[in-house]
Amino acid sequence: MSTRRHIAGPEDAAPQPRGRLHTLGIQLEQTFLAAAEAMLVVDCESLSILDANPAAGRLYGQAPEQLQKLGYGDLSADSAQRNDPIGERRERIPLRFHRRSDESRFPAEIVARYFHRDGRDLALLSIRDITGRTQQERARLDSELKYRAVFDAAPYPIVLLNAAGRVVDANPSATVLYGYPREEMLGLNAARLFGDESPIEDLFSARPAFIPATTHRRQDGSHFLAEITLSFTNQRDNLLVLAVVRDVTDERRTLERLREAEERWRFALEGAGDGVWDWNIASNEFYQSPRWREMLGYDGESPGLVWNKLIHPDDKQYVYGNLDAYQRGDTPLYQSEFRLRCADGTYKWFAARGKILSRDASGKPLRMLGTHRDITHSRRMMEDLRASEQRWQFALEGHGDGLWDWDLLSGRIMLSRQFKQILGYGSDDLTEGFDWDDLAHPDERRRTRELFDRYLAGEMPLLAAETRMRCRDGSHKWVALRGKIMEYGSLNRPSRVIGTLRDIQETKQREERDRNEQEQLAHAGRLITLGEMASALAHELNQPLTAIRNFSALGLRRLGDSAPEQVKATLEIIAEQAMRAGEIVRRARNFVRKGEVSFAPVQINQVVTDMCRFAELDALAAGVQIALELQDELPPASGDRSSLEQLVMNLIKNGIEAMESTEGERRLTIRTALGGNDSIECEVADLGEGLSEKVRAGLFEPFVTTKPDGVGLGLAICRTIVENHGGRLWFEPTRRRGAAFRFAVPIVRKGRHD
Amino acid sequence: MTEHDLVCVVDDDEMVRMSVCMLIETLGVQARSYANCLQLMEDESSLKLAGCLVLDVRMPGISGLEMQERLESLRVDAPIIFISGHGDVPMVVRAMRGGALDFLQKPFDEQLLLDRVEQAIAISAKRRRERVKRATVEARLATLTPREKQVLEGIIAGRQNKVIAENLGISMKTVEQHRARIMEKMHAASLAELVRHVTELGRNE
Repeated sequence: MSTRRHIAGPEDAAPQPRGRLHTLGIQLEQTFLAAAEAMLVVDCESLSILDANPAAGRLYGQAPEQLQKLGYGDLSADSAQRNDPIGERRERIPLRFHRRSDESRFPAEIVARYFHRDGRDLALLSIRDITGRTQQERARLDSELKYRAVFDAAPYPIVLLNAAGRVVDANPSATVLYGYPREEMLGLNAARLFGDESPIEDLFSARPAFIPATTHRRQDGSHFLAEITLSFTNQRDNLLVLAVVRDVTDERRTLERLREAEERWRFALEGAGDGVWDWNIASNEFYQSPRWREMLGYDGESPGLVWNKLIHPDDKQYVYGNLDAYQRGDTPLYQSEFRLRCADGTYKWFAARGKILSRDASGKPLRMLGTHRDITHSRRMMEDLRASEQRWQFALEGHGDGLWDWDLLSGRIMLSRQFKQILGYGSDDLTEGFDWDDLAHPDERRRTRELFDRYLAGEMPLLAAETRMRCRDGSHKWVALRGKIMEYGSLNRPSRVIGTLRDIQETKQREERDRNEQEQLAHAGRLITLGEMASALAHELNQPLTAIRNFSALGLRRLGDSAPEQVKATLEIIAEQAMRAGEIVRRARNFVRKGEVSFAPVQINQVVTDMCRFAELDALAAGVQIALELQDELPPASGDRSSLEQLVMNLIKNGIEAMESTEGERRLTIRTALGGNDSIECEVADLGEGLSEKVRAGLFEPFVTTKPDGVGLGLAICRTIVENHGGRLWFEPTRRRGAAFRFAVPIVRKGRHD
Repeated sequence: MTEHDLVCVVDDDEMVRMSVCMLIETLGVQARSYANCLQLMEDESSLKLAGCLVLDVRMPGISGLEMQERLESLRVDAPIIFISGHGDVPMVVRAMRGGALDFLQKPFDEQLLLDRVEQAIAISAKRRRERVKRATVEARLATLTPREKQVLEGIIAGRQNKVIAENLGISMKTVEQHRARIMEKMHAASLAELVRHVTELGRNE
């Protein structure tokens, strides 16, 4: 380029110092001689060379003086094109091939300046060997052709513009896009194509630029959206702009649809009160929805607002833990609960859910999308609930109850310390991975499970079970289990059951003991009854046996020796058999009695109250009220407690039965008092129909009864018992209504029992 | 047989008491039967005369054992034989402690009962004889003057006449006179007899 300017110098200067010296002025003469460029002065008419500088001599391989003998045409390698440009006074002479003295050829670039001197038209020619350049030109041409092919074949529209913003070229894609024939498109103003909105000035900022989508115009006037990518090139001193056009109409439409969909989703999410966010993890850019800002109390756009800068310091570790777990793929969804600082400086609780939107090639997450939900309220409620739960726990544990909390979804059962204590476990035991089955007694497992199932199925309003559970030492303990569903999950299925556990080992044992005692008592009652019955029978049978024995013996005596042997033998047999019968009765009686009754001090009042307790049910069933009038501080009676219990029980039962058909008040009164002769008297009085004379006569006879289904041994047995105690039993006939039986038993006297 | 050979039988069973009475009567002893103790108590004269009581333990009203206790206080010295349908050890112990002669379980060997009844009558007779004897000695003692009683005490204590005389401040001769009077009044053949009569009386009191 610089050489061109150098040449332009004489070009501009030449017309000014016109007509000096020989051919040029003195100054020019010097310049002429010193110039590095080959220069010739040629007569325009004759084309003879008037002057040549040394550089020209070097170029053509001849001395300047030699050159002055030649004509300009002699220099040309192609004789056919010898004269024309100078004759036409053209400043730029098209490329010519000149010859050197050695006949070698070179492409010559010639610039001419014309001037008039001494009546002659002269031309100052500056000649340059552009052999190197033409070679480059050729290469460029080849390359251009290649580019041209690419240009034409490019699937995307390319428009070539000149510095004036006019189309110089357009590839077929471009002509198709804009709907012009190629010829009509050339020379069009860019604005005609790119639309008025396009910042045309950007086209000429001479640096690569990108023009976002604007509305472009086709020849038929229709519009489309397109982006333009610009690049610039200088071609033969001309600035060219290469505009690559990308039709983004479809893409935009898709994007638009996407955005609409996103808007809808966002609307749905925000409608549910969730704030939506889009987090670019790498750049830590954080897009927030208006709802998100609203939740945190920010107005309008707040650039630089990033959620992770607002996390409560105490929650940071937890949140990042959740985030890492998700990003590593440990959890299918990012979920976390934490506090964020609001615009006013306070903190609110949020529940976050999110998903990774994109990852880089190495799998590192780039972008996450998610929601934040304000859970401050529910959190507070939860805390309140927890506090209230704790209060309940305190109250219940204060009662000695253990607590359990069963998450049905995970199957996890949380047990309170007290629960574990009841079964002898430490606080480190039973923390993870156990089930009710593991605790239940093998015999109860099935029943317990069925009970749980039935409760969870809604068949019972409350879970309540008494069952045995395994203690740490392997033994089993009776416990009362109670529970209630606290939470329901999806499909309204119970998801959480909370309940208590109470230690009822002692109660159970006591119940069992009581039951055993009752059974024993019943058994003893049967035995006593049997014993007393045998005793009563023995007495009643022994009387006639005694009579038989005595009378047979009497017969023998009265007969004396004179009697026939047969009669005496018969009587003797009768006497012996009576004794044998007596022996059988005695043995039977001894068998059921199993030895002797041992007498000990017995509190009659205690016997009465105990028996009333047992008779309570019978009394209740018969609508009978039992009234006790017991004298305080009675001395103990001497007797066999079970026998006396049997006695009192029989009298009470008789009394209750006597009032079965009684109209009006049904009351059984039992009185105790100190009687005469160091005895204690006890009276059992009913308000029944009383006893007729006839009944009274055989009252204590065995097998005499007024009851349709009675055996008639009750009173006989009673009498046997009383008499065995050296006491008496009798009927008090003085009542206005009903019947009263009274017995007296001796009190303990020193030296009585040994 | 004497007028005292009366046996009282108490049993609520008529056939029993009848048979027992009839058996006892084969001994040539009179027997009276009572249905309960109360009846016997009311028949005081028989009670005084009786040489033996045969009581059933188990009876309505007053039982045999209770009867035994009451008779003790009435100074009835007829031995008691209990007859019972069944005898518990405490019952037997109580009866025997109360001075019963025996406790027979019904039905019993009638010979055993009759033996016991004879035994009882014998005991009863002996007691009566002793009581009569004691009454005689007492009656004779009652005839002694105060001085004679004092001398008698000295004799029983085994003191010599001289010592008695000194103690009472009387002469030996007077003591000897009292002594002769005492022997006469007490119908004693010898000094040994006299001492035995008086000491037996004291033991029984």
